[in-house]
Amino acid sequence: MMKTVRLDDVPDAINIEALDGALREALGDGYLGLSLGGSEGPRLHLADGVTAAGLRTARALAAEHDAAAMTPEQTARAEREALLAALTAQVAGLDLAQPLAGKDADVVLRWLALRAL
Amino acid sequence: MTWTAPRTWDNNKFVTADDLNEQLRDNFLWLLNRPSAVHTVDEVSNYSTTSTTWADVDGTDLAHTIDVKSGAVEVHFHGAVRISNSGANDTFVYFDVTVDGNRHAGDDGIVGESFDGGNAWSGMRTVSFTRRITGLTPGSHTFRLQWRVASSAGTTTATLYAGAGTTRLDVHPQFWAKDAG
Repeated sequence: MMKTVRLDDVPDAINIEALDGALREALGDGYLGLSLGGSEGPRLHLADGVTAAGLRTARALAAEHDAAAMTPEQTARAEREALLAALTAQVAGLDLAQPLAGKDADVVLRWLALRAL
Repeated sequence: MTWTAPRTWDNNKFVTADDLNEQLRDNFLWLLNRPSAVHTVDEVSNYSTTSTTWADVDGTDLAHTIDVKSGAVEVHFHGAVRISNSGANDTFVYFDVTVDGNRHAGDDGIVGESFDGGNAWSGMRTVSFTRRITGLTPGSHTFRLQWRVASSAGTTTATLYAGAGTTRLDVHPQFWAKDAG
Protein backbone atom coordinates (compact mmCIF):
# COMPACT_ATOMS: atom_id res chain seq x y z
CA MET A 1 0.00 0.00 0.00
CA MET A 2 1.00 3.59 -0.55
CA LYS A 3 0.20 6.80 1.27
CA THR A 4 0.51 10.32 -0.06
CA VAL A 5 1.69 13.10 2.23
CA ARG A 6 1.50 16.77 1.33
CA LEU A 7 4.56 18.93 1.85
CA ASP A 8 3.59 22.36 3.12
CA ASP A 9 7.01 23.79 3.95
CA VAL A 10 8.94 23.72 0.68
CA PRO A 11 10.70 26.38 -1.40
CA ASP A 12 8.84 27.80 -4.39
CA ALA A 13 11.40 26.34 -6.80
CA ILE A 14 12.11 22.62 -6.65
CA ASN A 15 14.73 20.64 -8.53
CA ILE A 16 12.66 17.46 -8.59
CA GLU A 17 15.51 15.20 -9.70
CA ALA A 18 17.78 16.42 -6.90
CA LEU A 19 15.13 16.31 -4.19
CA ASP A 20 13.99 12.89 -5.35
CA GLY A 21 17.56 11.60 -5.10
CA ALA A 22 17.99 13.00 -1.59
CA LEU A 23 14.69 11.54 -0.40
CA ARG A 24 15.42 8.16 -1.97
CA GLU A 25 18.81 8.04 -0.24
CA ALA A 26 17.30 9.01 3.12
CA LEU A 27 14.20 6.81 3.09
CA GLY A 28 15.31 3.84 1.01
CA ASP A 29 12.62 1.44 -0.14
CA GLY A 30 9.97 3.33 1.80
CA TYR A 31 10.23 6.21 -0.62
CA LEU A 32 8.12 5.76 -3.76
CA GLY A 33 8.28 9.17 -5.39
CA LEU A 34 7.48 12.86 -5.38
CA SER A 35 4.80 14.78 -7.29
CA LEU A 36 4.50 18.48 -7.98
CA GLY A 37 1.93 20.81 -9.48
CA GLY A 38 -1.81 21.26 -9.57
CA SER A 39 -4.26 21.89 -6.79
CA GLU A 40 -2.55 19.66 -4.25
CA GLY A 41 0.98 21.07 -4.28
CA PRO A 42 4.14 19.09 -3.55
CA ARG A 43 3.44 15.63 -2.18
CA LEU A 44 5.41 12.57 -1.17
CA HIS A 45 4.45 9.02 -2.04
CA LEU A 46 5.53 6.66 0.71
CA ALA A 47 5.18 3.01 1.54
CA ASP A 48 3.07 2.31 4.61
CA GLY A 49 6.12 1.18 6.54
CA VAL A 50 7.75 4.63 6.69
CA THR A 51 8.06 5.75 10.31
CA ALA A 52 7.22 9.14 11.81
CA ALA A 53 10.96 9.78 12.10
CA GLY A 54 11.37 9.01 8.42
CA LEU A 55 8.61 11.42 7.56
CA ARG A 56 10.23 14.14 9.68
CA THR A 57 13.49 13.54 7.83
CA ALA A 58 11.67 13.84 4.50
CA ARG A 59 9.97 17.08 5.53
CA ALA A 60 13.31 18.53 6.72
CA LEU A 61 15.02 17.60 3.45
CA ALA A 62 12.20 19.24 1.48
CA ALA A 63 12.27 22.40 3.60
CA GLU A 64 16.06 22.76 3.20
CA HIS A 65 16.02 21.94 -0.50
CA ASP A 66 18.07 24.22 -2.77
CA ALA A 67 16.81 24.04 -6.34
CA ALA A 68 20.01 25.63 -7.65
CA ALA A 69 22.17 22.76 -6.38
CA MET A 70 22.51 20.33 -9.27
CA THR A 71 23.11 16.60 -8.97
CA PRO A 72 26.33 15.18 -10.48
CA GLU A 73 24.21 13.81 -13.35
CA GLN A 74 22.65 17.22 -13.98
CA THR A 75 26.09 18.85 -13.94
CA ALA A 76 27.35 16.28 -16.46
CA ARG A 77 24.32 16.87 -18.71
CA ALA A 78 24.77 20.64 -18.51
CA GLU A 79 28.44 20.30 -19.45
CA ARG A 80 27.55 18.01 -22.34
CA GLU A 81 24.90 20.43 -23.61
CA ALA A 82 27.34 23.34 -23.35
CA LEU A 83 29.97 21.39 -25.28
CA LEU A 84 27.42 20.40 -27.91
CA ALA A 85 26.34 24.04 -28.29
CA ALA A 86 29.95 25.15 -28.70
CA LEU A 87 30.69 22.44 -31.28
CA THR A 88 27.46 23.22 -33.15
CA ALA A 89 28.54 26.85 -33.44
CA GLN A 90 31.95 25.80 -34.77
CA VAL A 91 30.44 23.37 -37.30
CA ALA A 92 28.01 26.05 -38.47
CA GLY A 93 31.04 28.21 -39.31
CA LEU A 94 32.72 25.60 -41.51
CA ASP A 95 32.51 25.46 -45.28
CA LEU A 96 31.12 21.94 -45.61
CA ALA A 97 31.32 22.12 -49.40
CA GLN A 98 35.11 21.77 -49.04
CA PRO A 99 37.07 18.70 -47.84
CA LEU A 100 37.68 18.70 -44.08
CA ALA A 101 41.04 18.10 -42.52
CA GLY A 102 42.93 18.57 -39.30
CA LYS A 103 41.17 20.48 -36.56
CA ASP A 104 37.99 21.01 -38.62
CA ALA A 105 37.57 17.28 -39.15
CA ASP A 106 38.12 16.70 -35.43
CA VAL A 107 35.42 19.24 -34.57
CA VAL A 108 32.92 17.61 -36.94
CA LEU A 109 33.74 14.14 -35.65
CA ARG A 110 33.27 15.17 -32.01
CA TRP A 111 30.03 17.01 -32.90
CA LEU A 112 28.62 13.93 -34.63
CA ALA A 113 29.68 11.60 -31.80
CA LEU A 114 28.11 13.84 -29.17
CA ARG A 115 24.84 14.07 -31.08
CA ALA A 116 24.75 10.31 -31.54
CA LEU A 117 25.13 9.55 -27.82
CA MET B 1 -33.25 16.70 -14.98
CA THR B 2 -33.76 13.12 -13.86
CA TRP B 3 -34.00 9.90 -15.79
CA THR B 4 -37.10 7.75 -15.36
CA ALA B 5 -37.07 4.15 -16.50
CA PRO B 6 -39.29 3.92 -19.64
CA ARG B 7 -42.66 2.32 -19.12
CA THR B 8 -44.01 -0.62 -21.03
CA TRP B 9 -47.21 0.67 -22.56
CA ASP B 10 -50.43 -1.35 -22.61
CA ASN B 11 -53.41 -1.07 -24.94
CA ASN B 12 -56.07 1.39 -23.87
CA LYS B 13 -53.72 3.05 -21.41
CA PHE B 14 -54.81 6.65 -20.83
CA VAL B 15 -51.81 8.91 -21.41
CA THR B 16 -51.69 12.12 -19.44
CA ALA B 17 -49.60 15.23 -19.91
CA ASP B 18 -47.60 14.21 -16.85
CA ASP B 19 -46.86 10.86 -18.48
CA LEU B 20 -45.62 12.50 -21.67
CA ASN B 21 -43.56 15.08 -19.78
CA GLU B 22 -41.95 12.42 -17.65
CA GLN B 23 -41.47 9.73 -20.28
CA LEU B 24 -40.65 11.87 -23.32
CA ARG B 25 -39.68 15.43 -22.41
CA ASP B 26 -37.67 14.71 -19.27
CA ASN B 27 -36.00 11.59 -20.58
CA PHE B 28 -35.05 13.28 -23.87
CA LEU B 29 -33.66 16.23 -21.94
CA TRP B 30 -31.70 13.84 -19.76
CA LEU B 31 -30.29 12.09 -22.82
CA LEU B 32 -29.35 15.46 -24.24
CA ASN B 33 -27.52 16.42 -21.04
CA ARG B 34 -26.23 13.16 -19.65
CA PRO B 35 -24.31 13.36 -16.40
CA SER B 36 -20.80 14.48 -17.25
CA ALA B 37 -17.87 16.44 -15.92
CA VAL B 38 -14.89 17.98 -17.64
CA HIS B 39 -11.73 19.73 -16.53
CA THR B 40 -9.44 21.59 -18.88
CA VAL B 41 -6.05 22.06 -17.29
CA ASP B 42 -4.71 25.59 -16.94
CA GLU B 43 -2.18 25.70 -14.12
CA VAL B 44 0.59 28.05 -13.05
CA SER B 45 3.09 25.19 -13.11
CA ASN B 46 3.33 21.87 -14.92
CA TYR B 47 2.61 18.57 -13.23
CA SER B 48 5.58 16.31 -12.58
CA THR B 49 6.18 13.08 -10.77
CA THR B 50 8.92 10.62 -9.93
CA SER B 51 6.46 8.16 -8.44
CA THR B 52 7.12 4.55 -9.30
CA THR B 53 3.78 3.58 -7.82
CA TRP B 54 0.39 4.74 -9.04
CA ALA B 55 -0.47 8.25 -7.85
CA ASP B 56 -3.19 10.77 -8.61
CA VAL B 57 -2.07 13.35 -11.14
CA ASP B 58 -4.29 15.84 -9.33
CA GLY B 59 -6.69 14.31 -6.84
CA THR B 60 -8.92 17.38 -6.85
CA ASP B 61 -8.99 18.90 -10.32
CA LEU B 62 -8.47 15.72 -12.33
CA ALA B 63 -11.19 13.83 -10.49
CA HIS B 64 -14.83 13.70 -11.48
CA THR B 65 -17.84 12.45 -9.58
CA ILE B 66 -20.96 11.83 -11.64
CA ASP B 67 -24.31 10.20 -11.00
CA VAL B 68 -24.29 7.17 -13.28
CA LYS B 69 -27.64 5.80 -14.43
CA SER B 70 -26.78 3.51 -17.29
CA GLY B 71 -23.98 1.50 -15.76
CA ALA B 72 -21.54 2.59 -18.46
CA VAL B 73 -19.20 5.58 -18.48
CA GLU B 74 -16.69 6.94 -20.94
CA VAL B 75 -13.60 8.64 -19.57
CA HIS B 76 -11.16 10.53 -21.74
CA PHE B 77 -7.78 12.15 -21.26
CA HIS B 78 -5.40 13.89 -23.58
CA GLY B 79 -2.19 15.69 -22.74
CA ALA B 80 1.45 16.19 -23.64
CA VAL B 81 4.19 14.55 -21.59
CA ARG B 82 7.94 14.49 -21.46
CA ILE B 83 10.00 12.06 -19.42
CA SER B 84 13.68 11.99 -18.51
CA ASN B 85 16.02 9.85 -16.48
CA SER B 86 18.99 10.96 -14.40
CA GLY B 87 21.11 8.07 -15.68
CA ALA B 88 20.01 8.18 -19.33
CA ASN B 89 18.19 4.85 -18.96
CA ASP B 90 15.18 4.01 -21.10
CA THR B 91 12.07 5.22 -19.33
CA PHE B 92 8.34 4.63 -19.30
CA VAL B 93 5.25 6.51 -18.18
CA TYR B 94 1.83 4.92 -17.69
CA PHE B 95 -1.69 6.27 -17.18
CA ASP B 96 -4.76 4.69 -15.65
CA VAL B 97 -8.06 5.74 -14.08
CA THR B 98 -9.43 4.80 -10.69
CA VAL B 99 -13.11 4.14 -10.17
CA ASP B 100 -14.07 4.85 -6.56
CA GLY B 101 -10.43 4.37 -5.58
CA ASN B 102 -9.82 1.13 -7.48
CA ARG B 103 -7.62 1.12 -10.55
CA HIS B 104 -9.64 0.27 -13.61
CA ALA B 105 -7.20 -1.36 -16.02
CA GLY B 106 -4.70 -2.83 -13.57
CA ASP B 107 -1.20 -3.98 -14.55
CA ASP B 108 0.50 -1.20 -16.54
CA GLY B 109 -2.70 0.77 -16.94
CA ILE B 110 -4.65 2.02 -19.94
CA VAL B 111 -1.81 3.59 -21.94
CA GLY B 112 1.96 3.87 -21.73
CA GLU B 113 4.76 5.66 -23.52
CA SER B 114 8.45 4.82 -23.69
CA PHE B 115 11.33 7.21 -24.16
CA ASP B 116 14.89 6.67 -25.30
CA GLY B 117 16.98 7.56 -22.29
CA GLY B 118 20.11 8.02 -24.34
CA ASN B 119 18.78 11.26 -25.72
CA ALA B 120 18.68 14.15 -23.28
CA TRP B 121 15.72 15.59 -25.18
CA SER B 122 13.65 12.61 -26.23
CA GLY B 123 10.83 14.88 -27.25
CA MET B 124 7.29 15.47 -26.20
CA ARG B 125 4.64 12.80 -26.68
CA THR B 126 0.89 13.06 -26.87
CA VAL B 127 -0.90 10.76 -24.48
CA SER B 128 -4.57 10.21 -25.21
CA PHE B 129 -7.17 7.60 -24.43
CA THR B 130 -10.91 7.15 -24.35
CA ARG B 131 -12.01 4.29 -22.16
CA ARG B 132 -15.45 2.72 -21.83
CA ILE B 133 -16.10 1.45 -18.31
CA THR B 134 -19.08 -0.84 -17.88
CA GLY B 135 -20.73 -2.79 -15.12
CA LEU B 136 -21.16 0.15 -12.76
CA THR B 137 -24.02 0.10 -10.34
CA PRO B 138 -26.42 3.06 -10.69
CA GLY B 139 -25.35 5.87 -8.39
CA SER B 140 -22.48 8.22 -7.71
CA HIS B 141 -19.00 7.20 -8.90
CA THR B 142 -15.67 9.02 -8.79
CA PHE B 143 -13.06 8.79 -11.56
CA ARG B 144 -9.48 9.92 -11.02
CA LEU B 145 -6.54 10.12 -13.42
CA GLN B 146 -3.38 8.36 -12.19
CA TRP B 147 0.14 7.92 -13.51
CA ARG B 148 3.48 6.38 -12.64
CA VAL B 149 6.97 6.12 -14.11
CA ALA B 150 9.37 3.20 -14.52
CA SER B 151 12.97 2.59 -15.53
CA SER B 152 15.76 0.18 -14.75
CA ALA B 153 17.68 2.68 -12.58
CA GLY B 154 18.03 6.32 -11.63
CA THR B 155 15.42 8.99 -11.04
CA THR B 156 12.76 9.13 -13.73
CA THR B 157 10.75 12.33 -13.97
CA ALA B 158 7.57 12.66 -16.00
CA THR B 159 6.19 16.09 -16.81
CA LEU B 160 2.63 16.72 -17.91
CA TYR B 161 2.45 20.12 -19.54
CA ALA B 162 -0.38 22.05 -17.92
CA GLY B 163 -0.84 25.30 -19.81
CA ALA B 164 1.71 26.84 -17.51
CA GLY B 165 3.47 29.00 -20.07
CA THR B 166 6.30 26.64 -21.03
CA THR B 167 7.76 27.88 -24.31
CA ARG B 168 6.34 25.91 -27.26
CA LEU B 169 4.68 23.49 -24.80
CA ASP B 170 1.96 25.71 -23.40
CA VAL B 171 -0.73 23.11 -24.06
CA HIS B 172 -3.88 22.37 -22.08
CA PRO B 173 -4.76 18.75 -21.27
CA GLN B 174 -8.35 17.73 -20.67
CA PHE B 175 -9.96 14.99 -18.58
CA TRP B 176 -13.65 14.19 -18.75
CA ALA B 177 -16.16 11.52 -17.79
CA LYS B 178 -19.73 11.06 -18.96
CA ASP B 179 -22.56 8.59 -18.61
CA ALA B 180 -22.41 6.60 -21.82
CA GLY B 181 -25.29 4.17 -21.75
